[in-house]
Amino acid sequence: MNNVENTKKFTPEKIISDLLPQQFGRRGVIWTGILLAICCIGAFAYIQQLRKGLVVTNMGDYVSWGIYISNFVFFVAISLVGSLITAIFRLADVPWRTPLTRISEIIAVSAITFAALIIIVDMGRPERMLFLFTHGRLQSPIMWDVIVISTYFCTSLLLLYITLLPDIKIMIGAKEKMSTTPFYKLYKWLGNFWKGTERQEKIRDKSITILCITIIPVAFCIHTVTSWLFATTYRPGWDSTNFGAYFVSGAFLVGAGGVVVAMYVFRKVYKLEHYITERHFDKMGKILVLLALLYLYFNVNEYLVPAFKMKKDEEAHLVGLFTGEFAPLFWFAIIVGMIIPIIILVFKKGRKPNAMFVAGVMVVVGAWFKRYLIVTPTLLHPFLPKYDAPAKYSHYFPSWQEWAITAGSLAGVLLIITFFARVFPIISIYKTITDHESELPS
Amino acid sequence: MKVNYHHKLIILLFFLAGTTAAKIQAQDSAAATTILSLRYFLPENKVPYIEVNTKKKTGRIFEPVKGVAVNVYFNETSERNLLGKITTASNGIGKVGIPASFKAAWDSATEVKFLAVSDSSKEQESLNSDVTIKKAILILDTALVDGVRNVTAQLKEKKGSEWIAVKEIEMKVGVKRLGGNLTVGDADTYTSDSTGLVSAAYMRDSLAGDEKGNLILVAKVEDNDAYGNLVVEKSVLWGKPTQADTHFWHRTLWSTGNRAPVWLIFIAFAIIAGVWSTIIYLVRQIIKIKKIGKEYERTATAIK
Amino acid sequence: MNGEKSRREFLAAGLLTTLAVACNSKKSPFTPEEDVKASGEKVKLLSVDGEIIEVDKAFLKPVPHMPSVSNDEIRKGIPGKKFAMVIDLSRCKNLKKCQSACNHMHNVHSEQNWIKVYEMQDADKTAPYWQPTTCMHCDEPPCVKVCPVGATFKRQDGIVLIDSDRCIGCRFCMAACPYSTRVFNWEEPILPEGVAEQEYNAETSVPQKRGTVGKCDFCPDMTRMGMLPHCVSACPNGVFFFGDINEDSVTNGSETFRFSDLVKDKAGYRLLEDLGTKPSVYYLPPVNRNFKFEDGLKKEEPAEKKS
Repeated sequence: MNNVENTKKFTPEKIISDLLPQQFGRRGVIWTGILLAICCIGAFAYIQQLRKGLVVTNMGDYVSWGIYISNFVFFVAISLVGSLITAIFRLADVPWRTPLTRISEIIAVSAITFAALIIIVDMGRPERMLFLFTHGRLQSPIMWDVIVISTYFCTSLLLLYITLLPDIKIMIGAKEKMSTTPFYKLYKWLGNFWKGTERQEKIRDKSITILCITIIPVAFCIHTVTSWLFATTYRPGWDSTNFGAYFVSGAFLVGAGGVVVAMYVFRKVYKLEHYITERHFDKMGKILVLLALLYLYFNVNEYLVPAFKMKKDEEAHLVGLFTGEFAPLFWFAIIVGMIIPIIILVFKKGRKPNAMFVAGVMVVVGAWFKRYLIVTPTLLHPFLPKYDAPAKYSHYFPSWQEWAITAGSLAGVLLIITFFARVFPIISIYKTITDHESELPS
Repeated sequence: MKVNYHHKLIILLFFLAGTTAAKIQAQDSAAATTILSLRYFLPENKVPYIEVNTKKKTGRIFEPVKGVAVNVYFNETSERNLLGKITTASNGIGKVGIPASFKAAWDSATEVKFLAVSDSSKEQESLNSDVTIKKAILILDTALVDGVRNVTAQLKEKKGSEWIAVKEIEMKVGVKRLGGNLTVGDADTYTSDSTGLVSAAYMRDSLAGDEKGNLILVAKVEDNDAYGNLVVEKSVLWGKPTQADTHFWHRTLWSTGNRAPVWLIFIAFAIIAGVWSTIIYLVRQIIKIKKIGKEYERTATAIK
Repeated sequence: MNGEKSRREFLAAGLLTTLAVACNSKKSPFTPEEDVKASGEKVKLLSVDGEIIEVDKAFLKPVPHMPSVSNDEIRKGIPGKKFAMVIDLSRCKNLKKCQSACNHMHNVHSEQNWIKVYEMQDADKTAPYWQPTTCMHCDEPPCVKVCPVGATFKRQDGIVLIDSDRCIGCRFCMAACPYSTRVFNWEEPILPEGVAEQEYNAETSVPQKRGTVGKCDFCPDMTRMGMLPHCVSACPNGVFFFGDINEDSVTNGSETFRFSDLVKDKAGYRLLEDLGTKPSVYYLPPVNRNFKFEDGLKKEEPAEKKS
């Protein structure tokens, strides 16, 4: 197979000039402005929350975890894609991965950053965060989560950095072509030492392989441990031995969906049609179908098995999901988040960029609500009846502050990705050139 | 929220404002009446004391009234016979002993009267209460009757210079437990027989004692019209020795951080060490790349 | 009325024995009450025999002054004790005096409750009953397992407490507790004057702090003074029995039972036994009830409800 058919006619110079980071156009400025504005609103809401306490949220003693936590789970989930595309594809030697790796790596880094931040937002006493280190208890799954998320953050950052080194050299070298001179010093600081000598190449290559092997178990851990925050309790809907696998499969799905969306957007905005080709969409489409089917399979397990038995404590929870209060959202997440994308993507016509984009958005949006459905309905169905507590605690709909902070965090993730694409090439220039050279018949 | 806040304030004022509580209560006197009571206590046949209790009855609830000044007198309300002046505490209770200066009067009488008079104020007229007590002691002992452990108790009143057992005195005989006494047999109370003796069969076999098996027996005369309140204790070796449960100190998932299970510590640190040594190794590789780059630069400039 | 009187009797008796022990400085194997602080000041008082005896002034203190307990000691608990509660459902008629006393003593938020009195009905055709719940003080406490910073902890005397100076407000314990016993201070708690400035004491759970979790603490501060938890002494129907399992006895103030006999004779059980949390609270089934279930449906006068 030849994966560079579309870049065949390009010289390295052409590739460099195509892929170098570009200044924001008018659309870029508006986009960034909107994201910044959303972040500011979120920050404003958070300041309110800091001043008045978590009372500004609509959480209560039953729904003690709301969209902050479901959003956290969403971020952790989507961040898994870094390990999927880069590590698994590299180890499996998937030839067409080149234009997707950096996109997935930056999604991973930015999402895991905001996962950590949103946990702090959820804390009643954020100023005591350091107690986690001074008074930490190894028995608590939260402790495991803290350890494993910080580890994953470091590993993802390393992976991003090491794969970036040759591109930094190219950018330093292409100074006169670059409109991005304000970052020149940053490039120098980050990668002036990279000369591309044989020894450096060898070390770098080996390091990437080690990193890829390391990051896969760490990635499985972050989401498995996150699932254990729920599965280690007795609650109906959470009390499942299947939860780790269920979460990991869902994470790969939403991550792949996120990459598809990002692929489409970058392709459009930066006019990368020759680099992110329809073939890439086709391949990603097939992966997405596989992952959606896998996640659907786990969903059947998670809901059909307890529904078959209908234990008393599970009943209220499951009925609430299937036909009750949460039914619209539940079926939305299942149908829009999994079934429709599967139907779109099994057909070859569905694996064209535009259709793929729609399917990707569906997957991501469905996945976000899916996380909400995993967290909230369970908490509304405790073992003992809801009694002798304020009536407002028996329902949950997020307050505007919660929405604002959540939206702010989502905007924050997009902002990091946007700024990253402004400063660094979103497709590895070096790898594209080497792919190109190695595959071109001389 | 605001409404609740006000309610709370009112309640707090009501409960905690000290002397103001007494005033509020006095203004409310149509609904609530303050009661002053006086009781005589003799623990362990040693030092007797008088307890005054001021409380207020609202509906069916008694609430203590604190900060009421009460004079307690011996035999009659005169300056000379003032045992002490006390102010009731937060639980509505005040206590006074019999000062050594009353020795002559105390020794000469077998029956004494105590009087309590509270200070009058604008809101609350003076209250008074009195109690007449015959001097008595309570004796607690054990006996083995037909191989059965018995607890015996006698209330003895002062007759001349003698202590004479009194018949038909109702008392409780129990084993001291947290927050209350577990009666030694089936009966809640026992009454002394014609010889003035209470004999209660001990039916609490293998009841847990301390680590040696010590139990504390308690005999108690409560609110007796003639003798007041008397209580006496005796330690016996009748219990089952109990050893402290050491389960708490094991390494468990709910223990403190420093008592985490060994397997957990081992697995966790093995994983952390494995992954982080890899990360550190990789960082060192980057440093190595950096060094190579610097060297390369140096040789490059040297060639130039 | 009867209960009311017995309770007073009990309190008086409690103090009496406290002082008896203090006076004689005799070591008691069960009560920590000999710790009552000696004031150092002596008074000369007459004994019943007419002897002049020097007695420490603390003897006449109407409220025992307990030595302050260090945070370390609070975390370890009272050695040799294992506290338990027995709740007799046949006596409860939903008066909620336990609840109001508890809320008052711990400055619980006016809308939240540490003690909840559930209207229970296990199945359509089974009898409804009133079920008060406190914290179960489980021996395998799921809340303590999951706390990342050791803010909630179990002590050797079986009590599970919260250190509000440690709590980071992650609320994992609330999700982990199957008894819905924990409440969160979503906003700044409204505290009586002077209380907010006090140093937090995990045994009194006062003062509650914003952004931390609160729950029933079994009132170990009361136990240290030889008194019963507030809910126990507030209940006019004697529903709550409190005691030390190591002593094999529980009391509601007026009645004291051998714990093992009581639980055996009345077929005591624990809530959600199948979860393996091993609660320290036992329930006696609602049979031969003192009140009809419907008695509990009558609304209390609003004035009484407020406190």
